Amino acid sequence: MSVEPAGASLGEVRAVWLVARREMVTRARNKAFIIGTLGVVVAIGLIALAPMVFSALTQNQTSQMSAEPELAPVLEQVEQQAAETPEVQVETSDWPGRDRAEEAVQDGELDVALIGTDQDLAAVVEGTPDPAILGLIDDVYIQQQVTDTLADTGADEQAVQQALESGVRVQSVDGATGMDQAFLVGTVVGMTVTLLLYISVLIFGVYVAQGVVEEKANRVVELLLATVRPWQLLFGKILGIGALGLIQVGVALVAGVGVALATDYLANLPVSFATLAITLVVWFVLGYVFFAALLAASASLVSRQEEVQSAIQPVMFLIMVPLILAMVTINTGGGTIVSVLATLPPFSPFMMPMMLATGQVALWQNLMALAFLAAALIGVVWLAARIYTGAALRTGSKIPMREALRIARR
Amino acid sequence: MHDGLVLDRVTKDFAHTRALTELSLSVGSGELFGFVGGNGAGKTTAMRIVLGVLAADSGEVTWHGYPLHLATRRRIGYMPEERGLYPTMGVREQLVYLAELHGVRRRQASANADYWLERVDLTAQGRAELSTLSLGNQQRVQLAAALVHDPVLLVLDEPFSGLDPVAIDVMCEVLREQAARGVPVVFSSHQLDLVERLCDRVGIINDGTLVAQGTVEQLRTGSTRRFLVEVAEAQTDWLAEVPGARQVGATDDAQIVELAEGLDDQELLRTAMGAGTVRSFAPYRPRLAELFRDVVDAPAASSNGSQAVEAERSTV
Repeated sequence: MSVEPAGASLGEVRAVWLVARREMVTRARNKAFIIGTLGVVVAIGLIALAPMVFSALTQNQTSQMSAEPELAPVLEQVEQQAAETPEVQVETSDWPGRDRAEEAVQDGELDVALIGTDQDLAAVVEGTPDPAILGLIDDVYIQQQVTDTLADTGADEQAVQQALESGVRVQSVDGATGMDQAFLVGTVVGMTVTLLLYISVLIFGVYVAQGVVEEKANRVVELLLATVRPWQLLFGKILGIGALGLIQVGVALVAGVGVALATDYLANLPVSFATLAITLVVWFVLGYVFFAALLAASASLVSRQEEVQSAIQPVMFLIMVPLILAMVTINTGGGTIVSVLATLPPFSPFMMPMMLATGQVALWQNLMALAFLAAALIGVVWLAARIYTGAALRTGSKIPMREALRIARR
Repeated sequence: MHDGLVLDRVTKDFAHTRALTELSLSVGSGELFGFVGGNGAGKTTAMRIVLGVLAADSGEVTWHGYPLHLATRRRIGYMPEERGLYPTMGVREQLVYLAELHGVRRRQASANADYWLERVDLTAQGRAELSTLSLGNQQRVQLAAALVHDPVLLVLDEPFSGLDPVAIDVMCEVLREQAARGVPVVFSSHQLDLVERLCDRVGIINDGTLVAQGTVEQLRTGSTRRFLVEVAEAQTDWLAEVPGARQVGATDDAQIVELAEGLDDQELLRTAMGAGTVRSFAPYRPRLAELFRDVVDAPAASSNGSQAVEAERSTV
């Protein structure tokens, strides 16, 4: 009795890993990837800078102020409070002397000169001054007057100070409407993360589609499929390219954290940035695998690079529609139907992170939508593997999907 | 039990044509088997079925008596008809990758890649991208790719096409050496003189079936007897006087005569001597190319030929 000749063993995990490693190594060296990653960082930086640039352009310039030596405490107070009020910026300069003060205002050397005494203060200005700065001076002066007056009567100075600083808290009845700071930040962050997801899924998903066709076009696939199974080749490719995508998304998030720390800009988010970042990574991973599998399967039906575009058109549509819906409904919410759609694939990967950032959905709703996507993923991945198996070795004209499924069944 | 590769009545249909009809052949240990046949005869289809990239409709492929499966196929060295490697990947890197994919550990894979790069004289180009190499050198890389995992069986589809004379010598040397190691080597080729020179056995495939199989000697000796007869100053038509003899070809000065079964060759010689001065009289053994032409030009072949071409095209 003869013994069956020994084969060469290659574990499933190792097969997938080898394919994935090749994708990572050869693509990470690619200039397009390196430039793309740097581009993402620059884009994040620009998005973060935009509001600052915007406010810098719309805000009044810094007000040059000076005051008579006697009024120095008032000026000091104004300067202090201005530092806490973002829309007012104050710079002080030396007192030019009573005679020179008016002249200095006229020449534009000074915007505001405080003259007079503790009891009778006047602000010398030219034309129509910035109401914000005048309001601030007014507040400071009144405060000081009141404290001074009450101090003489022996009142509790601290309590008075507290009372003076109290103000009306605004409570809106319809949640986060209106352009309050939190919602504005939420919208900008939400848009950014949605676009980040969209661009990442698109770029790396299309890499997968092109890679599939590249191997068919240069026929190397025949050599590969004589030693690994089609699904191992497919998933190795998806995972390897996905890992690069994850690196790029990770870099973007780190850049985002950097911006957050530097500008204090993200403090007003309805969820913590950490929560948002973690869900974003999960959304990227699941969303990317979902669309990459579909893109790879559709691309495997054709054999030439020129045909990739048209082959993946239907999947591109599936990616585009959720993005548009997300952008259209970002402010309005969009009602029940949109809320339901947003929890389902293919909508959820682009709508859920945004709605989380703007506070329109809670974390548990995100988790639920992620569970839906994971369930759908099983079916999509199975289908993609079947189509790819049937189509990978067939070259020539475009293969009808039904034909690919039929071949794979055998 | 056969100690090599056996194809047993393998049949494959494509949508509109039959590519292989009960094709049977066997290649033993250390044997160089040349597979010849016209375009679309089914050579590529048969090889792809051996490699498992195409499934047979019926019939069986066995290796040492056991049906081939993925693990045993990993030990085959394969050169597809349509050459294919990654054009933008480094040459050496690519060989290491392919060896690893065939189950070779990384360290060994690197050593094998270096060895084969040296054998095909491309050590200096190891770091270059494949696409920067000349077409002939890319072919050498393709050969290295088929051998880098120490295969126990070689299946090469048209390994000689596109090779320069030096590369052809390298290829011949490598194939002989592999066969000497006990590796069965199956290859197809249109270069029949090469096949004749190189192969222990030859199979002629036409229209999806093996129409002749045997050693080159066996095929050339064949069942019919042929003689090369040179008669100077012969009267015309002297051959008509010998019943059962007919001319099947000619060289510059001589006629190739086929003699029917059971006839005396001395009778043919005597008649020739009567007709003129016999300058030479010898048994004629046709070249493989002639045999091949005889087989392929047989009446049944031509009508289905064009269909078979289409069938093969649709699969590659």
